[in-house]
Amino acid sequence: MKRLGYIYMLIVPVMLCLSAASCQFRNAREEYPDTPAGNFEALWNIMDTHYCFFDLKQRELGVDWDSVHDRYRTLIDDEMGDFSLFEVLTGMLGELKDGHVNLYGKYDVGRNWTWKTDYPSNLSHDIRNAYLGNDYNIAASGCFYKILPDNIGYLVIESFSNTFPDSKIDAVLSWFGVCNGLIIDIRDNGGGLLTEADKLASRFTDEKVLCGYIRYKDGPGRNDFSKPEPVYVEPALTRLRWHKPVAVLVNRGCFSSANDFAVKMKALPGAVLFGDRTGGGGGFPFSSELPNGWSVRFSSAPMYDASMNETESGVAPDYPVSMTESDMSRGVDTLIESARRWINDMIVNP
Amino acid sequence: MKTMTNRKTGSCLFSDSIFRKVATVLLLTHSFFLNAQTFPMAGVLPSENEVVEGISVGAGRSSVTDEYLSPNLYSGFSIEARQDRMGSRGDDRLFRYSRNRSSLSASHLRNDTGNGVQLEAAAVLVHVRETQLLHYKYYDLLFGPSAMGGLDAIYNLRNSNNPANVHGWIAAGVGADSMFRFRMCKRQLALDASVSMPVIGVFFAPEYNLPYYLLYEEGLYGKALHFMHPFNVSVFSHDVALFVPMGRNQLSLSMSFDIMAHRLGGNYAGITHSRFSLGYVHRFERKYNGR
Repeated sequence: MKRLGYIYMLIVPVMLCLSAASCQFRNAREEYPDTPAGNFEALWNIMDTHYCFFDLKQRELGVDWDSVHDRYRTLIDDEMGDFSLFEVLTGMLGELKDGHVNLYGKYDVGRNWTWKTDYPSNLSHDIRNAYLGNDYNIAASGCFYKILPDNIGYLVIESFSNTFPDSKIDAVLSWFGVCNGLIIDIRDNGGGLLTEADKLASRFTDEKVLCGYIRYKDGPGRNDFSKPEPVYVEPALTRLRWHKPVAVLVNRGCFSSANDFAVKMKALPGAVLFGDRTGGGGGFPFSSELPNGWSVRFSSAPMYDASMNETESGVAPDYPVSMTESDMSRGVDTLIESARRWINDMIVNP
Repeated sequence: MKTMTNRKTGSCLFSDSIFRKVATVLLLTHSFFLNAQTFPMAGVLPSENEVVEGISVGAGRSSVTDEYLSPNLYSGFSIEARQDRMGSRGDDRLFRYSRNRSSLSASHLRNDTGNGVQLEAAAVLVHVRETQLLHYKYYDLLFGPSAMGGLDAIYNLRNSNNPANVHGWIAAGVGADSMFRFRMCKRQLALDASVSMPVIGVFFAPEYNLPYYLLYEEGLYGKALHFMHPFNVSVFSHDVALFVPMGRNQLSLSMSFDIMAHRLGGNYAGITHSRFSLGYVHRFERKYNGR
């Protein structure tokens, strides 16, 4: 009987040895303790190995991530409390001026929104509400539409966070069927679901159009990226599609998937952007965690336009327009009026 | 059965329900001891066309580290439902015994600091064809090739754009089963230890920061499929079960441990489960047409 036991005892250790390889993987990981210094190093390292815009931030903002480490490390001591630690870590992340970089602590969300707040908003909600009046239609939460007096459709999309069913888009486009053109107002749209932006853009083309590229971090090195994958806007062949002029109103508050929508619409013939440069956020975000359980979000998959320009810093409008003081004092939205003039000109001179 | 009633007082001397309960207990007790003597089947391998089936439920602990979601260790409570089947085929002289296992499990996990929650669900299917390497009165050792598949889904309640991750594999491997039979208190008990492990196969795990959005929208499935072998993926399960005869069936008490770990695509993932299970085992004969 002993011999039999030995045989079984042989099989199990062999299998255990093979599976022990997994333990080696685990041991190879660098562990950080749950101390202020440990959390600081963990955050810096997560960003160092996963964040995708170090080159761009160095070029545009002069951010050297190694020197950022050295500067902020001196502010860390193991006696500091959560509030102070949160402030230091948020400050470090804020150097990147990226709306997709956030630290989720116990009491607050660390952020740097100067990409938006440092610029004129080019939007007055009161004036926009006056254009909509009281008899506008609601397609979905945060999505309003009406026909303006000169027979131009006006669609406001405040967010892409809510799903916008195909049937609703059909209904809206049918409603606008009699219109000469369409204005899509995505000012201050902070983004949401990329798929919703794709879905809407697919209603404005009859052909598959190359609108950009995307790649992702495929390793811990700062330049470890996959090869760029082309991104197309594919026509929604079985659904209603729009063939008349489209003006998209944008400002610095257009971020993330709203920025992506602007990039896609700009690539389509028959659609133009009016307003200010968009806010950017052209990096698909990812999340991770620090040893103390705080969550961190960062950009990890850079997106490009059709000419391989990064869209992280936004996309320039075809027609740069700013809200003027005189228009605002008269209750006129300069961007809407510019878009109306362009559409009316397009009817006369297509 | 008629009730014996005192007509004057209307009280029940022997109500139906009490009689039934007493009769049931007596019959069960009788059959229990009778069968303990006449059906000492615990740990006996199935004969031709016979199937030994065990169904069990278990509870224990799980721990998960999936760097795609978080580098932190999450651990917590886990439950499992499992079905094991062992059959015998007389027409196959080499791999006479077949063993199937299917299990479903779910876990609720927290990180060490208690401010993060992950949910985990796993499904595993294992089929082992075994040959009887050793056979003695009190001991059997079976060993053979196996085919197996598993799917493990983890959901992080806080992550925004990468809230979930899936690990899946289909593989060919090996399995072993050893059965010790022994007597205690005049009853035959059995201790069964079984292991299974994939050797080569295909493993699904997204590469480093590859978002699922890109995986589906761009069809980058090739970036998530990996050739697996014991030196890049470790999937291993081991359990020990004690079978105690109970009437015509058996009660099973088992301890199981399994691990799935890899560092594919640049991310480490390690998932372990250890559970105590309680179940019952019964034998039945398969009809000639396979039923």
